[in-house]
Amino acid sequence: MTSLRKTHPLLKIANDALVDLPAPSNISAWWNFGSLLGLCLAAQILTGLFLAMHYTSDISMAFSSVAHICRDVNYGWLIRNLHANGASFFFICLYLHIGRGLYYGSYLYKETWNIGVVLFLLVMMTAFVGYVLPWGQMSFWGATVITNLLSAVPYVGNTLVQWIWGGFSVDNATLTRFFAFHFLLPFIVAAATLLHLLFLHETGSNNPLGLNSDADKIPFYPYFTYKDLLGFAILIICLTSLALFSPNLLGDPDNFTPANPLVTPPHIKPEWYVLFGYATLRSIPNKLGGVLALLASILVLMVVPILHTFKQRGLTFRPVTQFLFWTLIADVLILTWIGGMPVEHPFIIIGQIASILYFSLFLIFFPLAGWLENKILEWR
Amino acid sequence: CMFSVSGLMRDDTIYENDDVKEALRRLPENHYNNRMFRMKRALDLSMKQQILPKDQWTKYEEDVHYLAPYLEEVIRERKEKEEWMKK
Repeated sequence: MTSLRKTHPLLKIANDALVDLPAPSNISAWWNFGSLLGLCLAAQILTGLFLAMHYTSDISMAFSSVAHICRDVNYGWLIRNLHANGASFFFICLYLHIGRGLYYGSYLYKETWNIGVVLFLLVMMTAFVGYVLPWGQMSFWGATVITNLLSAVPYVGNTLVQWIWGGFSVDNATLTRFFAFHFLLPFIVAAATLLHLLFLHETGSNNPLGLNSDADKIPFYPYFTYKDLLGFAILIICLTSLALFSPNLLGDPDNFTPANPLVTPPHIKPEWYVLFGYATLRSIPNKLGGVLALLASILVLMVVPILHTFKQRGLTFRPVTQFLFWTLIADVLILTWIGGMPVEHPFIIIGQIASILYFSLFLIFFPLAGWLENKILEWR
Repeated sequence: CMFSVSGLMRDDTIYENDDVKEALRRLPENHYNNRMFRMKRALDLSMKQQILPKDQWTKYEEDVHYLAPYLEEVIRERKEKEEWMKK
């Protein structure tokens, strides 16, 4: 008799995704970050929901409502710390997940990959509007800088910015709608995640060798259920360690000062996870050029599948391109460092070189290395 | 990091696009079975984070490009079909 989990209309959807899903036997720890992202999303929604019960999005009360949460709400300090640091872990998992996708050629699943890029953009937008909510100095001025970028759009730029602001500057109208966006966007992220998984399950997972793994599949349960649970435990330990031992390590001290439109902080910078984009933005001395470079630094990911030249999938057997991959990682770390530095010599020229290198790697060096490695292996 | 340490041949590692899938369909049974064996062994080694003993690595002389003739034929047929479709 066929088990209920395989026949019931609802249960079989869960069964086909989490129990009887055929998975390659050799997927490594790099394949844990997908489920970890799901955990991060769930954790952020849960902690965010509890924060939203006590937060007020009016500029007269936003900052003090966060202080009220930390001081008066039972375990509010913990919920706030978990939410703030959970965002950092979300991005750590995101970058490791994307890095896995690039290294192992998972981007050849084009629909899954492109939805992934959309997810990345959605999560960045969520984090951006969320960072404004505490209404500290960096919240206000970061919002001012980034929303002003939209004025670079030709003809309609200024109108667009004022429409987003709901006024003539970042003010109460901006904060209240950013709260609404921050509440709404995670559910759009969740829906897009389901689409991402839908397309992934059409093809099945990639694996570290990049080979067709139909010859050696194992069921998701129990192997990857328990492997993912181990990953969850490690993430929870790391997140709670950071939240309990060093909750402000990744934050900006300026955000402990309430927002003041009359006082500009000397160094306006976003959170660490978007510093690489901030460096790319600032590397071009033209406003529209900088905005386009910022967009391109994310959207270049969508071009990667089109520029794939090599006959193998992934870099496991490709030493030349492996070197270029790690050059890319080092370059992104340099861009992250530069994004946190003031716009002075020598950081300007380093940022410009690093930005050029970033795009050159994707658009020129990776395809060239693929062509070269085809030749080395006598592939026509 | 080369595929020979996993006992694979070059043509075992080619990404399976539509042309390659058709070429695989045309492979003689013995070539296909040998290919399957090598791939399954490589996947198992990868899962265990191991490689083969050195005497079992694929040597350059043993690395037969068994798929190349079938793949070339499939690509040639496709291109000819596309030319005809243009007309």
